[in-house]
Amino acid sequence: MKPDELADRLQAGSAALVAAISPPAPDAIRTRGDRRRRRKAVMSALLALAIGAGGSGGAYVSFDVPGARRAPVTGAAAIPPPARPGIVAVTSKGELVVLDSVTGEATRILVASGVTADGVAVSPGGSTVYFSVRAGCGHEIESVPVTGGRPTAITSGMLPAVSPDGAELAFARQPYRGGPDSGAGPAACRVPGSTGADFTVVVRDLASGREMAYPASPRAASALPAPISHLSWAPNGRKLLVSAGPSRDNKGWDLVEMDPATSRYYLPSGNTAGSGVSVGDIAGPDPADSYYREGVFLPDGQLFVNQVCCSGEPVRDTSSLLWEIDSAGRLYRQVAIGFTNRDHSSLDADPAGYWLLYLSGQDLFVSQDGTAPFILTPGLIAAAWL
Amino acid sequence: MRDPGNFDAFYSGSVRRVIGQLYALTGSRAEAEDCVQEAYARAWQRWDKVSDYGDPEAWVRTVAYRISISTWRKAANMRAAHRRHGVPDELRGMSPDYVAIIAALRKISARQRQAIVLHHLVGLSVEEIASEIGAPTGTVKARLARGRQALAPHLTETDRAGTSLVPGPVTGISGREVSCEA
Repeated sequence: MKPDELADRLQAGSAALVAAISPPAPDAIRTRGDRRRRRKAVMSALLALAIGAGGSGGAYVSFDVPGARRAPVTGAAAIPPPARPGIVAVTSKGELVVLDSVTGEATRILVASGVTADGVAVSPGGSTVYFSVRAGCGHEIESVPVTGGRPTAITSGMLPAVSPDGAELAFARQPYRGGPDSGAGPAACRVPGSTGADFTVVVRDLASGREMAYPASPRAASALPAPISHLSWAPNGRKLLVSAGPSRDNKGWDLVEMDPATSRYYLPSGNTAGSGVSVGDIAGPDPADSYYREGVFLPDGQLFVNQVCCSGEPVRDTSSLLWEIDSAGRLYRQVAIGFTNRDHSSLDADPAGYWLLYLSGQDLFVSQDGTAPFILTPGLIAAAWL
Repeated sequence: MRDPGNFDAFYSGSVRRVIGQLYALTGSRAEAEDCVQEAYARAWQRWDKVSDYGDPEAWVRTVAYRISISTWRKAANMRAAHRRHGVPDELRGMSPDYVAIIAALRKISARQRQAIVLHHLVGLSVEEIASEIGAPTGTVKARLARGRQALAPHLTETDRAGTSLVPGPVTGISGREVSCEA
């Protein structure tokens, strides 16, 4: 048989076969592919746990303290655990995206570029996402519907946090200080000689646009700069948890609880009336030198914090713990032991307090009810539950 | 970002063709369909990357073929296929002439069969085949020539016999029996 004849007979026969084939619908194939992705995500998480348990950087472990505050619910009265909510995140490319919280895959791009680090918040109903973008030598806060649409500019500032009733927006207004989201020309934007006085927490009434500013206390204002790194509202909307700390070493990191109705400053100044109050004593092997790198309120009023040891110069962290604590600093349970060579940021809990998330470097970790967290996806600079 | 519409269009436009190609490569229609579906599922799993490739269909075909030559998977698939479908209806929709060619292809080596199918059925050039299977062009040319040579007596014999072109129990790539006993 000549080659051409062979080709003709093969192609003719195959064409007849192809016409008789009834393949499955595309969505059935996609479902099968999605299952494979989920399996792969689970396997990756298990692998990360295995590596973490044996690696030198630190292990992810979890344990509960006796006398847990959440009573187990079993039997006929058992309530199914809350479903894992969606996640809104900022990628390392500056995209604001909605993630599938099971696969870690981006399902929707809300903003294509320019969104800055650790500055994403969601309104109580989950309908609006607040974020910050670079604007000249500063930042601007914008909002966008979670379903997508045109972003709306709100005001200058960064690190937005929406109050539980959705009526107020807390944020930081502070000099541009460079960093991973700095873009071009950080040196040109840097404010020489800035002090604590240049750093302010602002609470804005979203309906009227009226703003109340809370600077550092006079004593802290004359000291070295203490940039604000995260803000979190208490579940009753009456307190604001401010994470702040120096940019050059790890001395003086502080987690401050302030009452916007009565406080005048966001950083404390000893016994001055009206100042913010540092969150309780730190427990641990070396309480004197440990410090809170970041903290957020949980729905039951407890705190989810990243506690790091040890402060001082030269910087040499020996532990980085993800803990749930009460306002006096007493440990409720340990969620994870983080890597000492990474920042742990974007701490967040879902409205039920059942699902926790945080970034370890640029890896997004998720914990179900405080149990050992698993890595969901890499390449993020901010994240929050929807 | 994976675009379902884009994937669905690709899938709908190519799946039958790829199954036809895999059938010629494997000699088993049920296996071809299983392997191709699995390959498309893997394509969707990483569609953000695969869709950027110059020829996603070649990617799917290569993956499906690799899946088909996994011995473990072969055994598992045959058991699963048998459970799902009973004895497969291998010959539905095929002309007797094509059945004879497939029967002849099963009698030559897997590498020669791969070269012949990719060249004469898929329509790839020698260079394209070399790129797809990762072999030198000289090797591909040799496999094509020797494959045609090995194929010739089987086709001639079948044609000359003039009797039923439906093959009896035959062997697949790995030499095991495939399900044509119906």
